[in-house]
Amino acid sequence: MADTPVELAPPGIPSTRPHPGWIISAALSSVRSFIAAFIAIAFSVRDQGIIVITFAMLVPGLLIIGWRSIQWQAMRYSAQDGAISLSTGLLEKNERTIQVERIQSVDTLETPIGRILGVSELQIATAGAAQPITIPAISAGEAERLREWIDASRSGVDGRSADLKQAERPNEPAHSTVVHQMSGTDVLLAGLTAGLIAPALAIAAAAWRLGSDILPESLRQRVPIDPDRLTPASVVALIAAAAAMAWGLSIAGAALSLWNFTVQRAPDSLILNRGLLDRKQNTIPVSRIQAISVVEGVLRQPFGFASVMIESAAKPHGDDESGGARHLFPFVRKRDILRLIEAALPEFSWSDAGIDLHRLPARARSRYLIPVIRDFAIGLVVTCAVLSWLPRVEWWYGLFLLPLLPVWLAFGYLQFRDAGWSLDSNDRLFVQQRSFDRSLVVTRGRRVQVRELSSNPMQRRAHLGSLTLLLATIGGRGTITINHLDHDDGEQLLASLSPHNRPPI
Amino acid sequence: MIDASAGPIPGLEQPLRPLDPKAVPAWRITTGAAALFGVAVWVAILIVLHQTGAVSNLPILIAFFLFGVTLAALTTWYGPRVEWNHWRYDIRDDEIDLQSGMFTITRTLIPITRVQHVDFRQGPVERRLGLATIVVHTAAGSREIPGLSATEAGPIRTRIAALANIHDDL
Repeated sequence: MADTPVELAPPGIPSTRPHPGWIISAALSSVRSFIAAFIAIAFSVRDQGIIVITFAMLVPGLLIIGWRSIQWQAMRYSAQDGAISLSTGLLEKNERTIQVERIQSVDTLETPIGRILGVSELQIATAGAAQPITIPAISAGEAERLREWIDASRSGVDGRSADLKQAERPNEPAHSTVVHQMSGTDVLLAGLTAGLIAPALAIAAAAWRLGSDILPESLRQRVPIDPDRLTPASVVALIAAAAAMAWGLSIAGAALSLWNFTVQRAPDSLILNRGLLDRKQNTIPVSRIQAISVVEGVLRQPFGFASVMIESAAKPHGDDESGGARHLFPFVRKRDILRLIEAALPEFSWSDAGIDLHRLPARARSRYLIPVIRDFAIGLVVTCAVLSWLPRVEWWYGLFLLPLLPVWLAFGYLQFRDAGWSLDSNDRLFVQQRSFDRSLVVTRGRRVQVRELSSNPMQRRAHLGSLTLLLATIGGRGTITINHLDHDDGEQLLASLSPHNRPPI
Repeated sequence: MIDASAGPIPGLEQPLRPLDPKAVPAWRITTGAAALFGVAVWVAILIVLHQTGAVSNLPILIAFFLFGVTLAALTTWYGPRVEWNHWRYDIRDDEIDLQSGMFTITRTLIPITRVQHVDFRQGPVERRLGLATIVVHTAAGSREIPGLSATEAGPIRTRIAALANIHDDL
């Protein structure tokens, strides 16, 4: 590895304008946002004959195209001397530069219009919440050239840490291979098991807005939702209809965003492709991946399915995936996970024999269960108090909540049982935890930024503590927590992760 | 308590250095200001309760008021003392080691190579008493060392910055 001659970086890209296709796609998006104005104009001149109408449409259209052309004239991007820069702006010039070694990910987005014009949008993200550089329109060939230039410039940068690369990637693939492609059935099942609460709320809100905004008053009065005549059967039917609709939307959403999801491994990076209408491509350098997590959703775990996420310090393209995490495998069978990770990211895989996790001591169980009982008791008392205040209901209706207690306790117990960690001799750190979903985080000890061990008076009495490990990722997903572990185990883990106790890299 | 009962683990020696004792009066001033504000809010709530007739019994209102004042006074007087007692720090060659907290005691370890930059901060109260706060920033958030004597804080910041000036591959 160290003997590989450092390739000379290709010359890069001199100061260039984006693809002229941008003028058309940007003009179309302006037309879309002024669609109401266009309709209003057409409406106001509708009696003046076809020539006037055409003219009235054409003038603002041409103005928009003219404005976009001037904007396009002022845009330049370049990739030279180990940095990518983009300058925009007519009156107020704005130039942004990103050093190649700071690049966290390169994402492209191809909209249906862009596909017709042969252009896509390219985003280059750095660590943190800073805005990425966005080249608004670039042809496929040019994007490929830019990506190759980034790869070549970076391998020059990483060249001096060849030993580190050797240590981290014992079986690094030599060339780009497709590791995984999601089938249509998987996309369907992913949508079906995506979790119900968020889409159900969205549906309820949307339906309510639709009902109050669009439906005319007279029609709404005819809809038979009269609180006095609401029977249990109609309530159940309404809830079932809302759930079915939420499921439908969830499946449609999954189909749009996950369609043809493909994972490709190149020597130094992962390339992810997905999307039905908007096609997205993410290129993530492997050295920038902070951790991966295997998430078993409550609806997926019983059927043996899970999803695998990538945690990095880059903000993902668009806001569809929150918290800086991206799907690596959005929906896979649990028994396939190890094989797939081995193929896509051997840096984060584990042994066939499984992971031997350290568990929590038995005395930690009550620390998981007591808060559940306490919170439930508070909730019960408050509910009963509110009910006794209300007319027409009795306070003891609140007792119907009691059957939920075993479910709650079961979750508390599962949180206790599922918590565990392991740090192997390769500096690979595994932490399993559960909130509702069970997740297994795989990272490297040297990726941990801050380690904290805290103990409140109750924990001190039982010689327990809570361990928090922070990774450099966006949002809370990079926070690894092990609650109520043996305090000595916590100190041992703090010490094992100390730079003092790890061999120098 | 956290104190070494099982003997030190290699690489995890307890941090030893306490903060400047003047941190206690400094924190009493800032905590006291916050407590005064809390008492004002509490009095406002009690007045509303009285005016709306929800609680019309005057002795009960006075008892509530005294309870609030006592809580504020105790927090102001003992809180900073307890926190100061728990605070320890150490800047070692490879790690920054902190221990802090009032009820929940937290041990924080930050490898020096993970430090991105260091801030030196001085509020009005701190300046008057000759104190300063050091803020250590990493890619995963920041941590503070408050209540250092200003003369000591300068060299500490310089030392962390010098130690941290190593290539980081975030």
